[in-house]
Amino acid sequence: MGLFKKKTPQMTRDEALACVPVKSAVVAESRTGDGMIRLRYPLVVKPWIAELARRFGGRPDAAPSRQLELDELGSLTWDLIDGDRSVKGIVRHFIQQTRVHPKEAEVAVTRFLRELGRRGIVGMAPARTGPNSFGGKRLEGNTIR
Amino acid sequence: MNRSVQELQPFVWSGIALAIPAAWETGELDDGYALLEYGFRPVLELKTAIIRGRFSFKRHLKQLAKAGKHGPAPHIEAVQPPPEWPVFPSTIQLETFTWQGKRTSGLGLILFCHTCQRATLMQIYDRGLAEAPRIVASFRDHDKPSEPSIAVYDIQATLPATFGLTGFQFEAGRFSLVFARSQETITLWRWSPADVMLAGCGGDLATLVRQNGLLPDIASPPIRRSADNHVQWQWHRKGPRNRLRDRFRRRPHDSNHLLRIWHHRPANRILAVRAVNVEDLATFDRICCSYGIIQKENAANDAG
Repeated sequence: MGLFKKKTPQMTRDEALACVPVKSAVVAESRTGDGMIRLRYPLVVKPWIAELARRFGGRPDAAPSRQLELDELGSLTWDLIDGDRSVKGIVRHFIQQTRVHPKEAEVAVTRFLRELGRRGIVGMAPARTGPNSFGGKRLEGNTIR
Repeated sequence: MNRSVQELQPFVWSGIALAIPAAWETGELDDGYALLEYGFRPVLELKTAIIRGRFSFKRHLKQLAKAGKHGPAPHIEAVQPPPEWPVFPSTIQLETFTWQGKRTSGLGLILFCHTCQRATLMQIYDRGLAEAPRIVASFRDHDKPSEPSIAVYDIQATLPATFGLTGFQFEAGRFSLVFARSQETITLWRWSPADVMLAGCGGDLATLVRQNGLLPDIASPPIRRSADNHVQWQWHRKGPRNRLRDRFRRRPHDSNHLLRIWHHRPANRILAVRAVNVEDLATFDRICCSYGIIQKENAANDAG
């Protein structure tokens, strides 16, 4: 019954929470007047679309880019990404600063990071091994809803 | 586990009430199912259902010992209840067992109440075993009018026992729970964080209510706006079902709607209650007064 075989997740929840989000070097970051974060990131387009755009008058050297303006909670999460802090660490700081319920914080932060990852704005580095890591144990449990 | 774990908080879901350590959090909820976590890891899992007909412990233990879809069966062994556990009344039958999974282990219990015909399977993971006697002692599967009928995540409320939960939605930032009794409906909402929600609507609860579609266009201005930021509306609406029903009735029937929203500043939450066809205003008031935030220290920061 290969067609209906359930995909096994590539990493456990614990491993996912131990990953370290890293900001992409090509993302330009600025602040709006009200203190929110504005991100400008290059758009990855298929080569044939890029070629089509070039033929229709697009500048060959200018890579298409998009702009994303984060809201208050998004900006807060973005500021917590320092290339050192794990997803779990970001969730903990998020809880401290917003006083939301831990489960809500976990869902909101992971969903936000997943969205940024999908756009290539952040990447996920595997968990660091060392005294500060959360790694080692694997978790059997529920999925993030 | 640290000092804050010693403090207890209520947990009530699907008719099961427990007193759990304050540092434990609701992890996942479903109809008749709950998973509690401590430090982002599971500590207690429960399943409950009303049994029609005869209940067999042997059959249920056998079922548990079978290999599941997601892996091999855990090793299950029936054991005697630990001596430090409380003695249950004769109406409650109890079987205990230990289980050993691939990476985790724990203690399980199956309880069957002959009074309400409710069977409950509870599994306490090894990380939560130290708290097991207190949790088991607090187990309750009958409603007590004075105690909350729901206490999950950070919210709790007491409703008349005849109201049953008919729908729920828990999303990051927004919870909603719907209870019904015949034609009466009670809906509870909770938004968080309140400061962010209110910043998006100019600090006005009425705007928040309208933005979330809780008020129809026909609703009149609030009937009450108290100093402590309670805002309340009342309106009548004739839905399509009522219009059809009116054709067969002498007396036209309008549905009566009451909505109250308030800002719980200490917890940074916004709470709202809507009652449909609840004629008794005192009942609505009592539900609103009972609906609140479970007070505890931010124990999650110590967790894990």
